[in-house]
Amino acid sequence: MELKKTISTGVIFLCFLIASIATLGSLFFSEIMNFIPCSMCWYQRIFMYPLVLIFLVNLLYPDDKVFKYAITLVTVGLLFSIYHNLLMFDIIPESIVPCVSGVPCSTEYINWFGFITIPFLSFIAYFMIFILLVSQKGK
Amino acid sequence: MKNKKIVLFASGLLLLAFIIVANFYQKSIDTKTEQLAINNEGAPFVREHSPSFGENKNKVTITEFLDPECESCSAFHPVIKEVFNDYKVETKLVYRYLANHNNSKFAVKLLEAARLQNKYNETLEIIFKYQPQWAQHHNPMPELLWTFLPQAGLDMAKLRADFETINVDTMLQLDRQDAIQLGVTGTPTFYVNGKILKDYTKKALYDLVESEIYK
Repeated sequence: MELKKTISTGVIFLCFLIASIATLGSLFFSEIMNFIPCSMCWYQRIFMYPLVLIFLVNLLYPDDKVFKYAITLVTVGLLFSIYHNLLMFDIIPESIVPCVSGVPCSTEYINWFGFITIPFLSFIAYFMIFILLVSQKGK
Repeated sequence: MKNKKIVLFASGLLLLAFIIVANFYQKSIDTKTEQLAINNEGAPFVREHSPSFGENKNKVTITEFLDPECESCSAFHPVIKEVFNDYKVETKLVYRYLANHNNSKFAVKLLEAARLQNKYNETLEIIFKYQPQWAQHHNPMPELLWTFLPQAGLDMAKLRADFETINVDTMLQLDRQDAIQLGVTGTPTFYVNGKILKDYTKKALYDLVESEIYK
C-alpha cells in the first residue's frame, strides 16, 4: 500500500511536468511567437490546461481520485490530437473541418526533422500522460 | 511536506524558464527588426508607393500598418494624429495597408483615389469617423462612403473616375509581404525607426517617437 502510493505520486508529478510544459509551450507559440492557433489547437488546449491544475492540486493535497478526473480530459484531448495529426499527415482531407478562426488546421508553423509539428508535440504530450495514467490504474 | 516543496519548486522553475526564454526570444526579434530598419532605407518599413507625410528632418520614420475597416485603428487614430502633428517637422509618417476585412480593399481604393487629389488625410478622417455606419459587422455598407466623402472636400466626379481606374493590388500585396516579413498580423501596428510600439497608449507613442528624435 505504502509503496503504491509513492510510485503514483512520482507518476502524477511526471504527468504534471508534461502538462505544464505542453501548456507553457503552447502559450509560447501563440503569445510570444505570435502563431495564431487554429480551432483544433484550441480544443486541445481546452483539455490540456486544466490538467496542470488537477495534477497540481493532487500533488499538494493527495488523494486517490485523480485518475478519473484526469483520464476523462486526457482521453478527449488525445482523440482531438489524433484527429489533428491525421489532418497534418494528409490522411483525412482538410475540408472536413471548417476552421472558423481563419487559420487552416493543416498549417505547419514548425517542422523539426520532417515530422515534429505542433500537433505532433501535442499528441506526444497527451499520449505520454495517457500511458502513465493507465499504467498506474493497472496496478 | 518534502514532496510539496519539490512540486512548488518545479512549478516555479518552469515559470521562470518560460519568462527567461520568452524575454530572450523577444529581445532577439526586436534586435533583428531594428537591424532591418538600420540596414535598409525602405522595405520592409517604407515602399515607394506608400503614402507618407512629414518633413523628416531628424530621420525618424513612423510606420503604421493600418486597415480602414479596423476599429482599433480608428480608435487609435486621434493619438497618432496628435503625436504626428507635434512632430511633423522631425518625423515622417508612413501608412502601410493590411486589408484584413471584407471591405478594406474598397476603402483603400477610395483612399488612394483621394490621394491623387491630395486629400488623403481628410479622407482617412471621414472613413474612420463614419466607420460605425459603413462597417457594421452584421450589415456592412461600404457604398455609404460615397455619401460621406464630399465632406472631405473631394472632387467627387474625379474621385469616381479615379476609383474605377486605380489598381491597388500590387501595393496591397507588397504591404502584405512586408507585414509577413516583420511578423505583423494585426492592425494597427506601429514601428518607429524599426522599434515596435508595445503599448497602445498616448504616452508610449510619445515616448517612443521622442526617444528616436532626441537620441
